[in-house]
Amino acid sequence: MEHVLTKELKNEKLYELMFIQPNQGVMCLALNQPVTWDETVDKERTLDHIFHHMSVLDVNDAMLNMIGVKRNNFVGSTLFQIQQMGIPQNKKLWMKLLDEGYRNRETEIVLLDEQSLIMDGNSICMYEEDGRLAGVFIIQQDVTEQKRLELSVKKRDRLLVATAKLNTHLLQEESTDKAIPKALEILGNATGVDRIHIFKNHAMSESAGMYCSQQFEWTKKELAFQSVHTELQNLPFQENLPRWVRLMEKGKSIKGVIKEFPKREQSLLEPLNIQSILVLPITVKGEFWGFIVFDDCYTERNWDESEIAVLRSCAANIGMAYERYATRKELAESNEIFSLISKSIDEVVYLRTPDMRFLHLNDAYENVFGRSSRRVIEDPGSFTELIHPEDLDKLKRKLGENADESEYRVVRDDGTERYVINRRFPIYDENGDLHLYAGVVSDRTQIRQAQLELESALEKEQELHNLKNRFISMISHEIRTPLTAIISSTELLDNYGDRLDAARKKELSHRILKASQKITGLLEHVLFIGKADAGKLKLSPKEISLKRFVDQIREEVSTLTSHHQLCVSVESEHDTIIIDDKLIEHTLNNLLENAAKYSPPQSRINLTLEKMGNILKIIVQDEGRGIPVEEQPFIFEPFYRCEGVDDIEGTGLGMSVIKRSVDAHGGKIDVDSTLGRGTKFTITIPLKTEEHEIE
Amino acid sequence: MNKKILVIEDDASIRESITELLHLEGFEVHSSADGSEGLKQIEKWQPNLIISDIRMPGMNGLEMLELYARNKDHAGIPFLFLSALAGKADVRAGMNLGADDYLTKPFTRTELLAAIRSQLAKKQKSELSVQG
Repeated sequence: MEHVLTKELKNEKLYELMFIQPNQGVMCLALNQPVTWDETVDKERTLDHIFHHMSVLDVNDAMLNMIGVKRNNFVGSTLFQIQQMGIPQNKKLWMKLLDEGYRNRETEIVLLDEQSLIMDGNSICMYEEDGRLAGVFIIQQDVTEQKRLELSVKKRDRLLVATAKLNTHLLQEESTDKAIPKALEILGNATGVDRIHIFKNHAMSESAGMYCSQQFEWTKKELAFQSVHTELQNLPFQENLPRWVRLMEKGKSIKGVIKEFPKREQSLLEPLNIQSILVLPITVKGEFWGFIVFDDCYTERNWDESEIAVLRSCAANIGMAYERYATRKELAESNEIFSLISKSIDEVVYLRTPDMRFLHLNDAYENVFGRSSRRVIEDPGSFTELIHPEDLDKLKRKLGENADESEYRVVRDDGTERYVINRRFPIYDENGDLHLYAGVVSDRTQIRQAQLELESALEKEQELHNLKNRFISMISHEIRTPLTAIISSTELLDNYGDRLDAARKKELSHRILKASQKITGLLEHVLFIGKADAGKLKLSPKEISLKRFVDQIREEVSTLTSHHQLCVSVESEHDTIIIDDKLIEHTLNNLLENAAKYSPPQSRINLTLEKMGNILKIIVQDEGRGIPVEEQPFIFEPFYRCEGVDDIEGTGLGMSVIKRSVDAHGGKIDVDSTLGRGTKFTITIPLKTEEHEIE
Repeated sequence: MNKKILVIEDDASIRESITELLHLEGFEVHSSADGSEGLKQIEKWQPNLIISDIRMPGMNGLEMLELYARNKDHAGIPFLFLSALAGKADVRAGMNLGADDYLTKPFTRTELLAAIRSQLAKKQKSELSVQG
């Protein structure tokens, strides 16, 4: 069957159909005279001719809309005139089209109002039958929106790839110093911005609000004003950009073109040469830690939401990296501190499992327990081997009761004992189950020793205190008796004086005198003993010849020994000695007085002095009643009086005074006595070679 | 008839003073230098009142009082201690043994006489009430 439509009619209808397509621009350009286009012509000149003689023959509304021109102005315009309208014509592309006769291409056309359009189109050349060029038929489509979408997806893909790279990188590096610069570079390249900063928030003082300081900066290599660098440290963030703080504290971002920002912010950002900006908060451990800033210095970028979403996740990852590094750093620091402490302290530090496997045991173990810590780590059972058997059961019981403090003795391999205190701290895992024990074992041996010593010193002190109390009660008793004699004699004289004869009155006066003297003597002895016991007895040694010393003694005791035969013998009496002569004289006075008191009249008392090298030896020997052997150890104690001597006057302090005088000279006194035969006291005093005070 | 007082005291001067003082006050006075001698005197002389020291050679005052108090015949004879042991514990120990009073040295004449007179008066009163 033959078609009704002629070829012309068919062409005409197709042409019409094309022209009425609403989304497809159609345009027909025709030359006023056909031109030859082949290798024989000067193509430059011919193209120039075509530009001036090829004009718009027909155009549809879609095309006019696309390029934004009016039909009246456009139809009839030559290519040259079209170019003048601001619709660029690329000569190279035209050349290619004319050579090939057909071209499918994408063209970006920049229009007068500076809005760019992307056209996707087909151009086809039309020829006369003789092959000369007659015109060009152009169909094109506005693909700007489509392209824009494609571009946005591409950009986002690039960002996603960058995000993946960033995360890998952040995970690989171990410190922010290493990780962040590279991370910013990745982000910089992926976003194409000119500069990225990371700022950290901080407080300058309690009241001044939030400050921020730049931590890191990345800039594009070709950035012209790289050197224009404002000091971005300690900026009063809260004060200057309160809106930013408010928004970012809520996790929101700040973006846009600087010239659209509030005036106040513009003036602050101006010195930074920024056209547009994107600021995203960084959160570390749930706190608004700081922010990341993307600067565009030349273009006004419109950040789209998908880009921002990806960059937000990057910011979150950077925050997490900061958190991780901080934790890692803290962990490393605390590990280091732990090992440092563990190494340097005297206490044993351990970390063990509940079933006694040691994860850590420091070298102090060896100092306290006497075995290497490695041995216990390898053989945990050996830990208990060194615990004193008497303490082991107690320790096991205490640990069974979950007591975290225990004390026990350690018996080291060399047999020495140590007294230790063990404090342990349970460590629980995240489920709350007992995981480990950390513990410290302190060697308390010295402290315990000191404690024991202190206790014994305290006991001694208590004993001394009791002694003193007894001493005081003794003194008071000893004073009461003569005082009673004084008072009663005085009262007799006062109340009954008129009925007493002169002889009796004299007797009473004498009794008062004697009792007073007794009290005085007692007081002197007490004071002397008190001084000596307090270590406040001062010696005044002086140089004296032995002969002179003996003469003084003889003179002093002459009345005391008037009823006895005193025989004094001095060896090498021309020697001189350095001694507190008054004190030793007093001592001998007491000794000789005792000898006389406890010896029968007319018996012999021998006093022998002898200098033997640097030692002065004094012997006092009597033929008296003697001191029972069992009482001899007590005769130097205050108020001790031998059995059966109550009939003989005495304070009970004389021997105490003698002993202390000899002690003060660093000497000693020995007693050798036989009951009924007599007593011999031997005093040896080391002599000083120089005159000086001895305390 | 003058009241009879026995003084037991080892210190000669104090013993003599007390003896003399009481004598001058009109009492009949005997004295002893220790506990055992004192006990003998009590048996022999039957005093109306006894004054005794505590710390004495041989038998001391407390030991003597213990022995003395066991004898029922002595019931009612006032017994006074006169001692230089002035601590509360000493006084309590003496009183617990049954002493009627405890004077500490040094004492004054007034104190001594007041103590003696009050004890003698008490004794007399109780005797009267027994007779009445």
